[in-house]
Amino acid sequence: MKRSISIGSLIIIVSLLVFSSPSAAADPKEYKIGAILAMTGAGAWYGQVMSQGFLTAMDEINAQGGIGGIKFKAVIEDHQSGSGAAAISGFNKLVNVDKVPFSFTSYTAPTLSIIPVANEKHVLLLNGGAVGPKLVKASPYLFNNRMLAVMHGLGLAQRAKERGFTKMAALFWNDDAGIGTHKFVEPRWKAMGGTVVAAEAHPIGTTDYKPYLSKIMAANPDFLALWQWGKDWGIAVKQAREMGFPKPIMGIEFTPDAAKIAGATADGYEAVTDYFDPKGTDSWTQKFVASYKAKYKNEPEFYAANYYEGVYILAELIKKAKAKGGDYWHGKALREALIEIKRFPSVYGGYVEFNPEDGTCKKKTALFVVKGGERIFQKYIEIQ
Amino acid sequence: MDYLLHILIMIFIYTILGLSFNLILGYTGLIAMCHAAFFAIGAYTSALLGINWGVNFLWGILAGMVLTGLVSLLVAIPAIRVRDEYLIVTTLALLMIVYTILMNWIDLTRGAAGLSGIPRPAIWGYKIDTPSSFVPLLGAFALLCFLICWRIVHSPFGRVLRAIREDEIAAESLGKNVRAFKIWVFVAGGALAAIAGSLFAHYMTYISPANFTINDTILIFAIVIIGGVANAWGPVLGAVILVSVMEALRFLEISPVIVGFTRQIAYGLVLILFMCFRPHGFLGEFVTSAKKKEEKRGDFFTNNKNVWASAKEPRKIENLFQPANELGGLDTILRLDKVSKSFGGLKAVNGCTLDIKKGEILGLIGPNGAGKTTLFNVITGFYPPEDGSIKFMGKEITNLPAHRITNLGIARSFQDLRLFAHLTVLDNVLIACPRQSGENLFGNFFRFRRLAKEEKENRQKAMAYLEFVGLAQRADELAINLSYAEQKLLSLARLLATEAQLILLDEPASGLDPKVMEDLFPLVKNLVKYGKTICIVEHNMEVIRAMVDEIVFLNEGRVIARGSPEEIMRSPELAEIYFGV
Amino acid sequence: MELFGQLVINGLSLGSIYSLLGISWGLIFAVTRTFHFAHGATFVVAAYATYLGQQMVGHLILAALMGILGAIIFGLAIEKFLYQYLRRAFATPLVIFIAALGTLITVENFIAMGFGTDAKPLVGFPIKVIKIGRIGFNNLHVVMFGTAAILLVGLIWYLRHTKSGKALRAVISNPEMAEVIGIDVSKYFLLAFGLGSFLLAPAAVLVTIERGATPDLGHWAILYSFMPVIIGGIGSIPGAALAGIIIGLAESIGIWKISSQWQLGIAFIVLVIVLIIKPTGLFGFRVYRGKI
Repeated sequence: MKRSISIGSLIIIVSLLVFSSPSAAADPKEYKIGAILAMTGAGAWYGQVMSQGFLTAMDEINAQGGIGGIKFKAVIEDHQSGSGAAAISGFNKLVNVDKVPFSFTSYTAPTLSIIPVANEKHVLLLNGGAVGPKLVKASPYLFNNRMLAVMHGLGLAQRAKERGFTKMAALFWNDDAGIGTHKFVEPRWKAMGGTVVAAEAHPIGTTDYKPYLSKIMAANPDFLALWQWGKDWGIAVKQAREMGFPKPIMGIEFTPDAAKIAGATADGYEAVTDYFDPKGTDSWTQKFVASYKAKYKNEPEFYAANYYEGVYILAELIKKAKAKGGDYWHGKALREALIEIKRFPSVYGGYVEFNPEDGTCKKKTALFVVKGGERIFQKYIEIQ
Repeated sequence: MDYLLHILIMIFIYTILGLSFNLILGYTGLIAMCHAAFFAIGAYTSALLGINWGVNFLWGILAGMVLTGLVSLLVAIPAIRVRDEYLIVTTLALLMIVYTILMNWIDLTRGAAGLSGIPRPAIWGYKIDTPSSFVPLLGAFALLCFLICWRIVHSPFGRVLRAIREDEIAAESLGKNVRAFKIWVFVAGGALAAIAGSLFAHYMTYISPANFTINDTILIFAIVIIGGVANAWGPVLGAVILVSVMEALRFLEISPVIVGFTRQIAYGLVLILFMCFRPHGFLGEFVTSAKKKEEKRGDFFTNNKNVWASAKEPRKIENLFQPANELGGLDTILRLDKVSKSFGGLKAVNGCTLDIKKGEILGLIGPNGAGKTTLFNVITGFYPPEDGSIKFMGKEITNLPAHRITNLGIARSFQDLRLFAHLTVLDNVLIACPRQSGENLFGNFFRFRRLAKEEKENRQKAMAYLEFVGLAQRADELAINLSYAEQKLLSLARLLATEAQLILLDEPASGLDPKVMEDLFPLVKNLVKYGKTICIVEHNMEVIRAMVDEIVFLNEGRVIARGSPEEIMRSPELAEIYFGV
Repeated sequence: MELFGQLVINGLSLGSIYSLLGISWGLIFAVTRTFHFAHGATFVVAAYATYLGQQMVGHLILAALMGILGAIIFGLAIEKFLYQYLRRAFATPLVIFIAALGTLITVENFIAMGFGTDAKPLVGFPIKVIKIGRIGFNNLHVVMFGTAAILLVGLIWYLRHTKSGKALRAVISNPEMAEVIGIDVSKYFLLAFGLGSFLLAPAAVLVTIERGATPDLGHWAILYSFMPVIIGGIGSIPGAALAGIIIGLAESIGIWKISSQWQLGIAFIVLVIVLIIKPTGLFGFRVYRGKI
């Protein structure tokens, strides 16, 4: 009797000690996160640089011992350059098997397709690449650390006005991002006193622009605006020049691989886009560029940069949520941390600020010009 | 757990796709590249109805099936006129057109952005929202489709499909409207694929054109090929293998960049390797003969163990043939009047005029290239003549399609036999039996008792014909396993089963040794007793002399002599033409 | 009106490429009756071999020669190791088709794995813009047209006037008879594949110069290989060439009044219309139904 009482009390005391600290945080073994990227298909390059971006950040943080001794691990799934079904399948696995509370995502359509599951299972999504207008307010769990296309488009319109143009011809993707951008910019351009003489929508990944350029040239515009992303702008510029199109061309994207395709024809092309300049003077930028180059030989561009800084944003969320205690390695907790902090240092230099209402962000936007095959920073753009 | 359920759901959907495609590709042999288009039309129809008008998903499925059926009908009508390579191209064109429409008709389909917010299914207010509630729903549909396909495949309709795959010209020559069959299987396959499409849409709640590309058609191909062509379980196995393997690849610790391409490469290699070493897939059509007998004992709806047993009691052969008098007082059964047919510049049949009298055995001889086989082809409707007219029993048959002419009462054999190699001996004869209501696709789903009764009667008839030629004990053997002589006998039995009045035999004795021919002759001569008229093309003079009443000598596409065998063979002029002496 | 002129010029250059694709595939098909779906794989092999060649030797023409060589070797290999094997095993057309399909997928993805899916450019072709009024094109488009014309004329001359060419024509008309008179048909099958692959390679090089090489060009190439042949008529080489031009023009002019994004569907609609009205193709001389 005496023995059982003492054993019983011992058990009770130990249990109380073990289970009683309400402020003890539930630490996972590792910070396992997901990523749904274009690993195969036409856009495989994106998947590659995006993953390289966040892997660089993870390696940096893990080399320092992780956060509070816990390291990062990424599980990457493939949406095959835009397949909603593949995204859903991959995301299903991430959520149900890997049990990730946070995932990177990319491309508008796959992101939209995984949102119902993310909402249901409380998984925080961070998009660093997609630009479609439909992403605005798509989900309380979706945040974008890339500025939306419509903003860049507006910036481009302002710049065009600055250069004294009135007649715009536009060439754009026939999806939500392209058409949405044009629909957003057109009335505002008209309000600035401009006109749109040609608007050609084309399927993503078109390689022969002659039909569209033919109509654009016949309309005799002052300049050509490109609402395109990826490598399409490079091919469009090249073919436009090779058809003898003489007028200035402006766009809202700059990627080095497309510039390589355009070669000399890209000279004079102006882009209003995310300000990430690998030659920038900000110390974090330089550290990132050095780190990335050491691993992957090429210079990073803003896609890699967005996903790189995404990991650091997550690191901040973890720290904040953990301080609160409880089960912090959970989508809900991370999201709350994000809404609280709102403003994070950006590897562009300066800050990235999230809008908790609709998941969009504000970052530095800049005007670049291509000269001699190189992208030269001109100035920052304030979008009104 | 949810993850596993998700995999199971995808397996069900792909099983339905595989089953429906197997009907077209595996059973009928049509290389259709547009299955993903049917999948897409079903998905988009159901999705749009659900999103825009809140239509319940069951109606959505029905609407999807109807629309897809219409589209496949429209495509099939021109496409089926052509074969093999043209079909590949036409169906590929359809797929690309559908894809282009989905991408560019943005007002309707939202283009590349796709349709999101497709409502989840609801049955009588009960919403199906979770993977665990989807599984029974999809399982039920998959089972339903499996049963439908099973029924089709084991019906007379399915039998004709397989015959078409083996040799569509032979099928046509037995009185089957091959074109109609192909069109119907196309429509059926398409409609079933549309079911999968609707279910897919309501499960994913988001679809875009990226789900319905040529790669998806290739996936469906792979499911059918790997699982087993022309086997009811094949697509099920194929779907299980392909879906599981694709998911399993996610768990391998390979760099994600490589994994995706590796998966595609594995795909491509699997297709190549299977084609090289096991073209019939894992299961294949030819399961062991014990299993085949099991199947014969009764398919799912007729469940007639007695069918087989009673079929082994042959009927009286005389009851099978119409009595000689029924033809009425007509003397001439077939009349050709100045019929001509050329190929390129060569006039193969040149103003040929010929009468065949009822009840006679006519021999048709002539040197090689005289136009004998071409004449047969013209008479039976495989080549329409340029000039002249052909009348059968007084009726004009000049431009009728081949199967109609067979239905009216003319049937022919082929020099190269054209048996249905991978069908059984019994099936070869069964197909030829006319007036099978089970050959109507929809007819197979009603009046099971009547169909079973017909099938039983036809089997008895077929066995009787096999008895007649002495092949009854080989009924279960595959035609390809018969000896050459047996194959010739089978070809005759098949011909007789068409119940044709006028029988055209193209070199029946070639390749046979004298002993066999001795058995064959009385058989053929006896047919006249049963009211048949026979025309034989032969080179073997012994056979001619022994069998025929009269000879017609054909040279350079026209009749140059007619008479009794003695008269014709005595003529030196004809001998010179024939032997070049 | 100027727009129309521009579209015609576009159509001619596009059509030249289609013609080359068509006559190269059509030759192989007419001689061997094989639905050589892996012709698309030959195309990407040629494109990437040229790119690789340029990485190694720099000079464009030399690289192009390497591309052509790569294409020929690949085409011959597929015939010798895959198709001949299958034919000996009495494979049906379906089986051969699927094996060819598998080859296309495998090759494209190997290339994607090795080179990546971003467009690989070729440098060294001096583009000179040519303008007629406001119509603009460049010397590359002229070269496309010229190459197609020269190769077409060359092929026709070869088939008419050389011993091996005539043997090929014999095999095209009647393979059984050709065998009887002593032509080693399997040797000529190899010749057809080699020649067809040779004719295809320049198209690959030119397209790569204009747009850059991507692995999925294989799918595009095979589609536009058999379309001119079917539309033009199986068995007619000039027919395929002409059909290629017609498709190019139809695609380019077709978008004059409708939105340009529908261009991809036009060729297929033309195909379906031709098949409905004249299944033998515009210039073909027989319905390919096989012998009865």
